[in-house]
Amino acid sequence: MYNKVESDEALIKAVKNGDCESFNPLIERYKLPLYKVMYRMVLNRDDAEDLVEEAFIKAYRSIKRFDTGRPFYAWLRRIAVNNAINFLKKERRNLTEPLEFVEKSLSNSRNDPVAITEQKALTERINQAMLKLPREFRTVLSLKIEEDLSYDEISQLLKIPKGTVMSRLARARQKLKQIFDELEVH
Amino acid sequence: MKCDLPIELLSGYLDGELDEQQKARVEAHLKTCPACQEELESLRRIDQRVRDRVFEEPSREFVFTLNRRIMDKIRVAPRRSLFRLTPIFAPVAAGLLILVILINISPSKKNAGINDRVIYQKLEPQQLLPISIPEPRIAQTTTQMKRAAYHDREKALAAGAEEDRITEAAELRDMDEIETTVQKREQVVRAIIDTNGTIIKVATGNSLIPEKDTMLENELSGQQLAPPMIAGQKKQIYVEVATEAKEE
Repeated sequence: MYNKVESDEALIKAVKNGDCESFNPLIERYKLPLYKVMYRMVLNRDDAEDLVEEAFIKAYRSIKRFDTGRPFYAWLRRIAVNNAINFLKKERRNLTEPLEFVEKSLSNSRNDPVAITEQKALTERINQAMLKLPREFRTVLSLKIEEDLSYDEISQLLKIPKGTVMSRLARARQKLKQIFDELEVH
Repeated sequence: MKCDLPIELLSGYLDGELDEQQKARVEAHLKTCPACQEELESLRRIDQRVRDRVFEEPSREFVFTLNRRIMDKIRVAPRRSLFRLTPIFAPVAAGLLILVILINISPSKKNAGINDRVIYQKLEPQQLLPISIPEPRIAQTTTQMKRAAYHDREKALAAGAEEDRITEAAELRDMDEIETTVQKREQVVRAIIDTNGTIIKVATGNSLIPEKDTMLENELSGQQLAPPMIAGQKKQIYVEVATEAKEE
C-alpha cells in the first residue's frame, strides 16, 4: 500500500489535506519508539500500550495545529509524555511491576543461563529502585538517560524551568543511589 | 559527598550541560577531590544501570493491530457530520444498525471489561430508562449512537458512501464493534451490565482509559436493566452512557 518511504512532512501535509490514510505510516514509524518512552514512564506494558494509542489519536485530532516545519516525533512525544504525566497523576494504585517478562525477554537474546539469571536479578532490582523514585524524578531521569534529551528539551517537554530539570536530575540520581545501596545494586 | 561542590554541578557535568565557567570549576575541583571523583563515577554507573535494564517488549496485539485500531477510530470520525446533517434520518439508520448488530454479533466475542477494548453495545432507549444516576453529578442520561467501527472498513465505507447508504453499510455481516457516545458530552459514564441486566461496574472520564468510579459504582451497582440479548443469547455488555445537563 505504501511502496515508497515518504517524509513525515509529506505525510502530515496529506493528512492535513484530508487523506487520513497517510497517518498510518506515521503510526508504523513511531509506535515502537513511543512505546519505549511510555513504558519507561509507567513501567507497565498494558498502560504503555494504551497511552501510545491515545497519543496517536490525540495527535491526529490536533494535526491541524501542528507546524509542519517542526519534527513530528518530538511533537508526538510531547503529547504522549503530557498524557502519561496526567495518567500517572490520576493513577491511584501502587505501581508494582511483575517481572516475569524479564526472563522472557532475556531468553530471546542470550543463551548463557548464568548471565540470564544475573541480569534478571539485576533488572529486577533496578526496576524496583525506579519504582521507588517519585514520579517527577523517574520522568526526568528516563528522558535524560534513556531518551538522551537535553535539559532544554526536557524543560520544554515538561514545561518546567531548565534549573528545575538540573536539580531534579541531581536529586533523582542521589535518591537512586541511596535506593541502589539499600537494594544492593552494584 | 563530603565537600561543598553542589551535586547539581556534578550531575550537570556528567550530562555535559554546564557552561564553560561551571565546567572549569568542576574540573578544577575534581583534580583535588577524590570523594567527588568517586561520586562522579558512582553517578555514571547508576546511569549505565538504568540504560542497561531489560526492556519489556510490547504485546503481539500491539505490534500487529495497533495501526488498524487507530485507523478505524480515525476513519469513523468524519461520519459524525452525517448525523448532524440528517436529524431525521440518523435515528432511523442508527436503529437499523443496532438491529443488524444485535443479530450478527457472534456470542463467542470476548466479554467486556472496564479497561478493555471491548464490544460497546447500544441499548434500546427503554432499556436505559431504569438507570438512575443521582443528582447533582448527573442530571439525565441519554445515549446516542454516533459512530460505528467496522472490521472491514473498505467494504463498509465504499467510495462515495453517502447518507442514504448507511443502511446498506449496516447490513454488512462483519461489523464487530459499536461505540456509543453522546453529542453533548459533559461526563461519560461507562458501565458493565451482566447477563441478567445488572450493573456491575461503573467508570467515568472522557479519556480512552476510563477510571473506576467507586462512589458512582456504589450508587449504581445492582440497578437492574433488561437483560441484554445478543444474537438470541444473554451476554455481558459494556455500555457507554453519556450525560447531558439538559436535554433538548
